[in-house]
Amino acid sequence: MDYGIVIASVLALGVLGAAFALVLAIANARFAVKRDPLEEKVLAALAGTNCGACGYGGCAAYAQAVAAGKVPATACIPGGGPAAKAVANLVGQTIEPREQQVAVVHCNRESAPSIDYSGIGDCRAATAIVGGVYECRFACLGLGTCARVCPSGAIWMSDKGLPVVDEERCTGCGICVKACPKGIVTVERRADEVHVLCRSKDKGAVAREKCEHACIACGLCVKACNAKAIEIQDFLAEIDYNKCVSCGECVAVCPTGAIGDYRKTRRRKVDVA
Amino acid sequence: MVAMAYTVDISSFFTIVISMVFVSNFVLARFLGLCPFIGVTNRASSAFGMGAAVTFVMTLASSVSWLIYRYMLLPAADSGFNVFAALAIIKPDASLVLVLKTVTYILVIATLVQLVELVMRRTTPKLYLALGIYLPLITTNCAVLGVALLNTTDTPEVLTFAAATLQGFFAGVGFALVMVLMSAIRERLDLLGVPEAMKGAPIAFICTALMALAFMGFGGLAGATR
Amino acid sequence: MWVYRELLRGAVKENPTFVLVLGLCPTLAVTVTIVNGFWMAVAATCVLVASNVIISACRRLIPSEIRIPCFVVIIASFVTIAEMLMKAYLPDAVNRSLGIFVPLIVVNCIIFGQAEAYAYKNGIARSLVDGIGVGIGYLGALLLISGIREALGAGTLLGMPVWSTYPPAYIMVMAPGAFLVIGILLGIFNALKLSRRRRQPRAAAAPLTSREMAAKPETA
Repeated sequence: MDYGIVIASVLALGVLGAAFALVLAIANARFAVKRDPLEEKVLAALAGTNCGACGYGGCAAYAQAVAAGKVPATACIPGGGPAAKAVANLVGQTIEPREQQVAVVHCNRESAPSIDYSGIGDCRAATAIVGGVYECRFACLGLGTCARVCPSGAIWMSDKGLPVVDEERCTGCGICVKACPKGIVTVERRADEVHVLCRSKDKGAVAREKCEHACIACGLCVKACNAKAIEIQDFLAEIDYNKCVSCGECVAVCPTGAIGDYRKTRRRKVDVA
Repeated sequence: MVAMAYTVDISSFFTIVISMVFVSNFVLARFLGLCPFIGVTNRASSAFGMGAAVTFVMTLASSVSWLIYRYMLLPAADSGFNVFAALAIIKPDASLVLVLKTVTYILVIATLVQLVELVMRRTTPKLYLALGIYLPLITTNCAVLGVALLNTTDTPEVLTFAAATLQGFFAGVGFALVMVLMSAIRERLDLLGVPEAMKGAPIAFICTALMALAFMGFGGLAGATR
Repeated sequence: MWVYRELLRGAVKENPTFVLVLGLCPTLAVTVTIVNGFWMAVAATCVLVASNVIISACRRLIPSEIRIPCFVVIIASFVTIAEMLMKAYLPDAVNRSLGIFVPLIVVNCIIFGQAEAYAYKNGIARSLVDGIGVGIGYLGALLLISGIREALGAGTLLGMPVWSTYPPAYIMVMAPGAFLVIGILLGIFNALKLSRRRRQPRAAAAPLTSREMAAKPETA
């Protein structure tokens, strides 16, 4: 038996191992990066979704900025109250509670498609090329860009091709708002439960022709509102959320179903898969 | 004799370039480096960074593994000098290749990747954050160990140092090229109506099959460089 | 018994090729014939089981910071043993077609992943059974892929001709065929997974418009 090979192997691995370990030890010392422990703690307190709602490129970047004391501790929206409190505690800021927000889809179209679109399946791309796919040119395109960009997976497309928001998962970060090229999605306070489900600025008769649920600017809602919270601008009803008390009177009188009331459905227990 | 072991002539240089990048592309023809190919090519930016990092590691790994192969593993009778034969630990015709090849190469690669990670963390922190978990995964990248093994196993003639290093570098270039191409395709693939079951890896593999088919066309170049 | 459950988990529920999508390099490269696929799976399984057992036995001795290099050296040693045994006992043709993919078992993500996720944290018996289970899954996957590729690409199965009238499509034993087969198989397994998962239609807060309020009587 050739013991030479055994000795040679042990020597080879021993020497190589030791040499490489030495190189790595030296490199570790020489290329050490000073880690701010505060930054690590802040990073641990954030939601960790890297969604960019705070305005920074990722959770690590925001943690760095907060630890440096440059920005308020409340910018992490998916982290919500708990994250804001924890971060504020860590960096020594005082904060006030902010209202919970949720995404709302302002379109309930019952409209026929005006063209047969088979291009890139992205609302932004489609808007850039054709402007609108349905008879009503303000309508939601239904290609699902908002659903794709949502970092919490809270939006999905219904059978009618309209986005549906899962209010349990929605954190109100607002990325869908930026993604929608038509301005169909907005972020409102969760406490506000009545919304106008139309964006059509067409004249009443024209809008009604194009979509069953269009706002025809008839003004019945304005009259019905006790808080004078509704105004008609550009043939479209707009609710002033500062005045609206979500009483639902406008919903009952609207002839086309352009205003919707989430009140009953939010109080009801819903099944979420 | 020693000088010849370290240089490469111009026609072999072009042979190396064309064969490593196109004809025997590491991903599309040799099936090496598939895990990061499927895992990292979702975005073009991370694909390019990963390709660059892997090329760097492959070049260094080729060089160091060539040195180890030549002066530690090959029998003294073939290579002219063997550390252990010189120390009279083993006989001049004894070969350590089969015994130590895998272990020493993988040690070299693991160390190199760790080094690259340390240097990157200090000098290019943004790229380091972007690559994140994929940097340590270069250790288990078949392409890196593969190029070290290919340079030193069953080669038609013993390679020179320059040839081995260049082969490592251009193999990495081929790898990076295919990564960038694939990421460009996949970014657009996202937006099309892919059936639910095929989303992600399955459709990526079908695209890879088409790319491999296209790259097989480069086989004609192999004749031209001879 | 837990043995059976662990084996099934490693082989089916967490099948390394079709579910975890790991270790694809040797899977696609050597599955040109069934014989090659078989020997590669046997080699990988032996290395997996051996390294799982040793790492599990030494898990209290290995500090967490340097566990990766330790795993690497242990796995590399077993791969070297496997390579030497194969070179000694297997026919030359098999060794030549397996080529560099036998030493490449050392960077096979399956073995690494199992060492990291399982052997480092569990006892010897569990790690052994887990290794066998994953190995069985891997063998099954390789046999399936190589069976398809050999039958369609060379017209043979285990060297015996299968069809008489179909001229084999040589593309199947080359690179594009491999990618095509794995892409389609992954798609099929994905479809099975999706159909098994019962998708309840998700209902969420939807606003009631005047139409719906008129149609439904108000329930408190």
